Amino acid sequence: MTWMLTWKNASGPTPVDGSVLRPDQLGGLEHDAVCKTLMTIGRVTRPLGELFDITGEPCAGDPHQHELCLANLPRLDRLGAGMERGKLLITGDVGDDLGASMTGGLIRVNGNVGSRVGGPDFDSPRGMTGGEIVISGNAEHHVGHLMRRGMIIVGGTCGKSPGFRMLAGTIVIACGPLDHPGLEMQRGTVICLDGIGAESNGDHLCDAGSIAATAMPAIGMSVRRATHLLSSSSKVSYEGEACLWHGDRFELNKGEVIQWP
Amino acid sequence: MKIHDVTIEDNFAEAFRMWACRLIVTAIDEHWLRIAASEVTGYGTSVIGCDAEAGIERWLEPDATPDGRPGVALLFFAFNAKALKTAMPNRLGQCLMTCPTTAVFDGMAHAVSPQSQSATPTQASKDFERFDFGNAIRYFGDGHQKSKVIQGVEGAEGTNAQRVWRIPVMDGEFTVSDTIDACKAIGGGNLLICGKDQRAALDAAAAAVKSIADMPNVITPFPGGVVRSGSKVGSRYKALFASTNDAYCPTLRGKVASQLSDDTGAVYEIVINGLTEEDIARAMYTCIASACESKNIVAIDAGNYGGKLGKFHFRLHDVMTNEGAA
Repeated sequence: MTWMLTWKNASGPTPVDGSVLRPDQLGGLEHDAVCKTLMTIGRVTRPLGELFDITGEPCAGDPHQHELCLANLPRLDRLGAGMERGKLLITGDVGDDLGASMTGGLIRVNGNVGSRVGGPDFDSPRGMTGGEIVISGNAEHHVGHLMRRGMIIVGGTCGKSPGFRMLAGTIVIACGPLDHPGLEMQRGTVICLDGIGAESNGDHLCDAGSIAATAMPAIGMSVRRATHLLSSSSKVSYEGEACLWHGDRFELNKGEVIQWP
Repeated sequence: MKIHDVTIEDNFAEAFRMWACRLIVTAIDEHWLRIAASEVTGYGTSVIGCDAEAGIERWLEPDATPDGRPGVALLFFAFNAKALKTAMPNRLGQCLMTCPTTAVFDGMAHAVSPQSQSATPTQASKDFERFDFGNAIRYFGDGHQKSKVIQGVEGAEGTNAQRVWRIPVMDGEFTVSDTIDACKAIGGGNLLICGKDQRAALDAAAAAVKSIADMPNVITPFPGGVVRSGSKVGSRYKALFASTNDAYCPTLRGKVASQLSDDTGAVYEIVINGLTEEDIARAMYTCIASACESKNIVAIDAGNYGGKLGKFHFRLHDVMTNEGAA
């Protein structure tokens, strides 16, 4: 099912936590059930039907195809937290902890997001363990905090330390410079499609110098996937030299930070 | 039956159940890609003496490959999945990892075959088996190897997420799929091209092989796709289970019971391995149609073992009447 929820801007307190809005939980429900699903606002709960205009279209039975489209939202935190499958499509700006501890599916934001995208939910020692998050605008601090698998793509800039304490997975940031990318990372890959600005970046990375882009097809594949999700193009260019750093050298030092040409 | 004055014998090709796997190999440019394809499919004509029957399925545009570089799809056949499980990591390590700039991916998910249309074949299915591929050679990285789960793009091979290993080597990284899937397939579809002389038969055979160069899901594993030493079951020597197909040997006419007409001077066989019966029938039709366009071809025949060894029979008349359709 494809559900479209548009915030009504009704009177009363504004919610902060958007975690109930999950395509894998709402996608299989009928219209009535979606309207009756409760959203927590502070100490009270209100049904979604009061807060959103809800329209929908049936789609193929495959739960991986369930979509939830959100528009006109207040700045909600924990959208897509714990999500397992389906697509969450958000128009507008989003708060913190987008996709916290998600395990699968796709989150696409046509706007800017807050801190700790793909980071850990409050009952988890790990961030996202699967799925993809695509942000057309900018992200704030600690993109991919403690992420374990999956891909996060930021079409704009990001705040402090993308890949902070990351365990594995891939982060692609379109616009540089990056402030201490991969700080305390164990494994994982942070790719910048722009200049990283390495001069200002502290001691945690070991400079491995430059390497021909075509020498790292796996990074090319990641860049291609990121470009495809951001712009639908399926082309990747292997022209030029990438710059490579290992990190964090005070941790496992199996991570990498790459400036793709 | 005659097509353009070429007699299509009322005979059938006898083919066997085999197992196949499919690789996508990419490289920096066509030169190194050709070298990689040629090396890894080398010594791969017949499982009688080789560890696999191997060939180039078709060349791929960069946009169609998992990593966006020029690529080629290769098919490998063996009697069972266990034989492939041994052969493939060997070929990977000796022929592909050694070759400059290559990357290697599992191509089975995108094979154009009804069996493989499901998103991910499961271990439990009896039509597929998954086995270690890159996972078997990752230790070459001596602890510096890394893996990543990467998803491809729609419209290209490798759309489904797969785990790849990245092994540091002297020119960068060798990227290879963690595992590959083998599926049930068929080997031994064939046709015999009987020409007035060696040149005519040879040119017709080469043209026929060329006509299926881009056809999906099939390979012709013998040299240039053509066999000159077709065999029959049995031999006067107890140690040999196969020997020269004397009924089709032109220099033995008059000495043995020959299948050759008076005006046939030479015979070449094209052996076709494919993923399904439909794939092989389509390839045989195209090859025969091509051979019938060539000059000085007398007849098209097919090789079989009396029908008792292989369970897949391709009657030439049926193949031509149905135009290669099922």
